[in-house]
Amino acid sequence: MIRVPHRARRSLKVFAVAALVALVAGACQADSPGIFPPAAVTQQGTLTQDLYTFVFAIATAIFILVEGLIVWAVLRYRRRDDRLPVQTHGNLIAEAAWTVIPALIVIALFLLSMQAQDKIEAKSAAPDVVVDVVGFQWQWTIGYGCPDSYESATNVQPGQDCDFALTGAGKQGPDLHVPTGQTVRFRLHAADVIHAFYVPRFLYKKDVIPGRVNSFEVVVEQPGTYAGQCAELCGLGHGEMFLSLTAEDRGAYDAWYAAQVEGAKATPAPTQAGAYEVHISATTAAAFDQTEVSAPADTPLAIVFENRDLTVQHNVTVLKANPDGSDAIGLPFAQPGATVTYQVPPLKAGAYTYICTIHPNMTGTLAVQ
Amino acid sequence: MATTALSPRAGAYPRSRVYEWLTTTDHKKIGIMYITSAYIFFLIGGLMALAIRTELAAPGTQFLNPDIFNQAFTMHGTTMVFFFVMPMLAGFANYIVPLQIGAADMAFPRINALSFWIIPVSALLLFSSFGLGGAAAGGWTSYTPLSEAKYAGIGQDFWLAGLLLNGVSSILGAINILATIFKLRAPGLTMLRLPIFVWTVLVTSVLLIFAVPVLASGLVMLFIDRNYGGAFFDPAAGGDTVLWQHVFWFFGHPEVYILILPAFGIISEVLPVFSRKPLFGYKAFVLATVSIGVLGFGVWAHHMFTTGAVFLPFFSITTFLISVPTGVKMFNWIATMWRGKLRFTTAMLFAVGFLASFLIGGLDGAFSASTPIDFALQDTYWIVSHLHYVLFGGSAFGIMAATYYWFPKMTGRFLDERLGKVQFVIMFVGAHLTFFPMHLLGISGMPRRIQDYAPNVGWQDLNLLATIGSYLIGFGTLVLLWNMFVALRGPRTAGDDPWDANTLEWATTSPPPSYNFDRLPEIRSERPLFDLKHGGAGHAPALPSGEGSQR
Repeated sequence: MIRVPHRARRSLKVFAVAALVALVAGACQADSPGIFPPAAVTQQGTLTQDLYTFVFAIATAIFILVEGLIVWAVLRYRRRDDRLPVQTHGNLIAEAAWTVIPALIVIALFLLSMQAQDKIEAKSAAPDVVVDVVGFQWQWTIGYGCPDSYESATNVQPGQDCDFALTGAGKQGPDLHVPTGQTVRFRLHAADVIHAFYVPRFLYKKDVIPGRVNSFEVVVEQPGTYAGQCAELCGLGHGEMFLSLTAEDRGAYDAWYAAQVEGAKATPAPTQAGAYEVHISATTAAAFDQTEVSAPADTPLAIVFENRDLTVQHNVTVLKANPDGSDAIGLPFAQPGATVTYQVPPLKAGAYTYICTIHPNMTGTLAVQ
Repeated sequence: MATTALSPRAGAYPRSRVYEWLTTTDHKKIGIMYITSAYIFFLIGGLMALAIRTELAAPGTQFLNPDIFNQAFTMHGTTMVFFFVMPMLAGFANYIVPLQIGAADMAFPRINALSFWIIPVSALLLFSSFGLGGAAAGGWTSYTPLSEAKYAGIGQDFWLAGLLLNGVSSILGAINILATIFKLRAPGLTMLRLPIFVWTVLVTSVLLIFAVPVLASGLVMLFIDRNYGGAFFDPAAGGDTVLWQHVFWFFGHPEVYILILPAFGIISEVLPVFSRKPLFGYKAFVLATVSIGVLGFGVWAHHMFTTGAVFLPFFSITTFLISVPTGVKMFNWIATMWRGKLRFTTAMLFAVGFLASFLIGGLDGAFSASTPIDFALQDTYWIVSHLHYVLFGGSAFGIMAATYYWFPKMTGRFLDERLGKVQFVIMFVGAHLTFFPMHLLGISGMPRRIQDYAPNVGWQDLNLLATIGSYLIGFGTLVLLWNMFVALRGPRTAGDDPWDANTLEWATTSPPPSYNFDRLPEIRSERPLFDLKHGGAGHAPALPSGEGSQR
């Protein structure tokens, strides 16, 4: 038998206090995330928020009760002599109590959850606005005014079928707009792997799954701009798959919508006369088919890009090709099988690197002489 | 007991020690090899975790690019689940179960050796992918289509093959354990006198036999999809990609109980011994263990609430209900300590630390069971926090308790208690520092499995805190290794029954001879050794006292 130092109690206290201080310090910083979700901005999210608060209250009560019993037992029943304690084998009433009471609590929580869930998952017969979201590695395409067939169509091309489509890489992603106070239905389509459409301020997410069309509805009540991000691991760029959502009143939304439709109708500027054509294609997401191309200096360029990769979108972005030193980003992305022409301003002599924005491992060199 | 002279090692065929370990069918040696290799995988998986935390300590890419990052968290999860916790618990079961039931060995000693030796081979297969084009990078759940041939390289095939082989080991081990428990119990050791650890291992083995073949079928289907033009999970060719999630989680959720039930068993051995009281509500505890095992097969789709492809109410209510038997256990453990005489050895500290930490992981479950709340929390860091409270605050703390509790039996030597307490304090603080902030990160919207986050979203401080916590856990692990290193060079001072314990493994020498027992005490309850020492004090009056004094 070994002797146990009687410092156990003190060290228990020390670690308890240390852990508590650290956690409280972490939890209480002014602009840091807290133990409650950020304020919901949708009708549906508000229900989730209330439910969370309720479950949190019950969980906290149980936490304090049980941790209190543990701490009490640890402090109170420390061994002080060698006498054998009373050998209690059980107590039917106590055991029945701590079986039945928790069972009643969880059944109550279940019923409350189902009540909220039915409202959150409800679908209206005719939503005011329908937004189609296409997730692909590693961006979103957002389609507005898409055909009814999108309710069940799994392979969709909002760029061709809809009033207009938005896309965009970077820390913001595409900026989709919705009207406040109206029912918005999101229909979710996946072009390659599973993604998840997640706007934290909605307190909601839904998976974007190839072969299925998932949908959900919200009524956004708070105007504002809210960040969103893919929540299901989708490969290399998973952490950079952003979107941003702007909620505004119906008037502003309609004006924005009209402007977008106008923009989509405007015919793309024809290839400048005398532009030098460079042909690039891609058959896989591993590399461009051409990794070295050349062009004359001080001449407008037209990069004719043929996407022969039937699985994903690609583009050609020439790094540091704009007069201000920024990248000449090739937009729009070329859908699988499509050919797109990108205009590049006249370049000074030198070697330029071009990449696919979506797949930065696809690179090539543009030699300008 | 002068038994060592009878050891076959003293016979006419001297063999090298290495040869003996490589060819042994002794459940104790195999158990120690399981435990040792599992600790090695704990170090490997832990280093990957530290690499992940280092990258996430601050915004931007400092340490791991997205490619390596995805490989790191995939292999971290895979290693910890399949090569640390499972073999570790299998190792303790291997060593302890035959001793606790008074058997000389497992029912099938050579199959036992086979199921151990599969583990290093499957690990070699899995880890070789790092040098052969990159390891799997689709998460330990390897959701399709990301894990299909179009999106994932050859590392995914190594992952599939490695886990398939690992599963063979688990199934063989489970069959062996069940045969051992059902057929080799000592006279008088009825099912309702089994130590609780044996009960939890029994239920775990049943879970393994039902769950692992389902995973194996999924692994084979995905392998066919990837290599032989199958389309099980390809919607474009008539398959269903959500099917993979059903198959994976039909294994994956019982797997959670496979990882935690034996830890429940360990805690249920440690708490009574160091409280000097019997486990409170033994039969309720057995019933709770069995009902967790049964209900555990009815909750798998709570991992899939956001797929829009599952019937939410059924999986919500089953998930809520499974918290009831788990809660029963929590109250039984506390009632075991109540009015006891508590001795705070390191094993006991880890057991109490388990209660305090696992409670948080359990309460988290009520949030996830509520579908609307799960819609907000699914796939965020909140889930990472929850699962680590269960698997680290639960399984790993249980494993630490088992290590300190049974080390004297396995080696005849004590781990140093002072170092042990230092390790406990460091790991306890470290674990909560690492995993509690993840709750807050997840609630505020940080998705899991992202390699980077923007500096302006307020996630910096909490991530840094979590990283500091993870370094503390790493430091605590070093203290444990040092403790083992020193202890193994020290003298054998432990004796047969150093903790004044209750169960049969303490009725033989430390370490036990290869045939385990010279003689067994009479078994009249789940605490035969306690009866022997205290003449059945506190037991049913029908049993005449003093009967067990055979020594």
